[in-house]
Amino acid sequence: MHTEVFATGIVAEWGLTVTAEAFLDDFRNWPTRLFPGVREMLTLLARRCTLACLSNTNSIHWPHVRDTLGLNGLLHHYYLSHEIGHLKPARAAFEHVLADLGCPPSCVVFLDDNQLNVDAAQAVGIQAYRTVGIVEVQTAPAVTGTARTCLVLHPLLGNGSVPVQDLAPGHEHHAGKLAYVVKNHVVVLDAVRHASDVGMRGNSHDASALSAFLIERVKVIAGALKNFRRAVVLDEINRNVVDAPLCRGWRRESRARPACGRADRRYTSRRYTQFLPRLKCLVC
Amino acid sequence: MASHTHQIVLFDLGGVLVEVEGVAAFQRMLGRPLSQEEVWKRWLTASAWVSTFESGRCTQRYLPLASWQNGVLL
Repeated sequence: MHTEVFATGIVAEWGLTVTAEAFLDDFRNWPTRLFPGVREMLTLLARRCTLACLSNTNSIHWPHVRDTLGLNGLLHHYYLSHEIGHLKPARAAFEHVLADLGCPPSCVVFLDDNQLNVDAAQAVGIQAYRTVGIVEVQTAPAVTGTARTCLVLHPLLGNGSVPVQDLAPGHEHHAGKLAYVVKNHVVVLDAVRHASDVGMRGNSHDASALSAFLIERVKVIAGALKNFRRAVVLDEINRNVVDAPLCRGWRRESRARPACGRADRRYTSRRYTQFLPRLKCLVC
Repeated sequence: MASHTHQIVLFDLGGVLVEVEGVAAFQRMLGRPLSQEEVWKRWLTASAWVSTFESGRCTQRYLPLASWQNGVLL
């Protein structure tokens, strides 16, 4: 019954032009998916630290996120506002979590897309970071979603990978692509097989421009992670290698490989796995 | 952020681990123009029904209020 009460209240409060039932039908599906790479990131993190969530959510969305979207089992603790009775940014919400975990605030890193919540967590003594929110999504941020979260958590993740899907516009459907974080380098393997793969068509595709695009994104990452010294972007289409030292200001250096003739297949996505050890040698 | 000092990572869900859409559809349900940004801001911070529901306090005793209340904070 409480869901109907809520829906009726929302329809009246907001002056919606639909019935409470119609609103509820739509509302159930607001959470659409786990961001790409979340499952892998959480699996990696779970080996190194305790994972929990503190979410302002409800009895409609939570079962959907847990069961249908598959968050169940990926975290160790779930602190849900409709269960604990506290909403962020109230101090009580964070205190409830700390009390239940039995740890001081200094042991917790908190990630939220709402600055109000980040500020509230910091006021309690938790180290908190803001990840992407709706405003940033609308204004096309340089780094969003899971990639942003991975980067914030990089010191915890150690050497690892960041989904390129969220790293550069035009790569949104490259679900399997990764930017490798190796020591203090970011390496983007930009080995696309077809121009259409990157949202550009035929002759208009300019792989160098794409690399520059990626480099711009990597530059943002490097700015966030101040110990990054170098970024390498490998582009298969014109065999372009963009090797960009990040220290002493931003400088882009590129050297083109032969576009035809002897085929250099080292950078094909098919050989990512075999190539990675050599790549590590290249950037170390 | 030193890797040795933090043992617990606490995530928000919506917008961090989970993609949430629906604001556009909600906008269409509104009887008046309101930007997506404004809708989302108001949804998160100023809706009495959202805060009541998401703190687990939305019970049947609120039903009479829900049926006629119009923007009045609980």
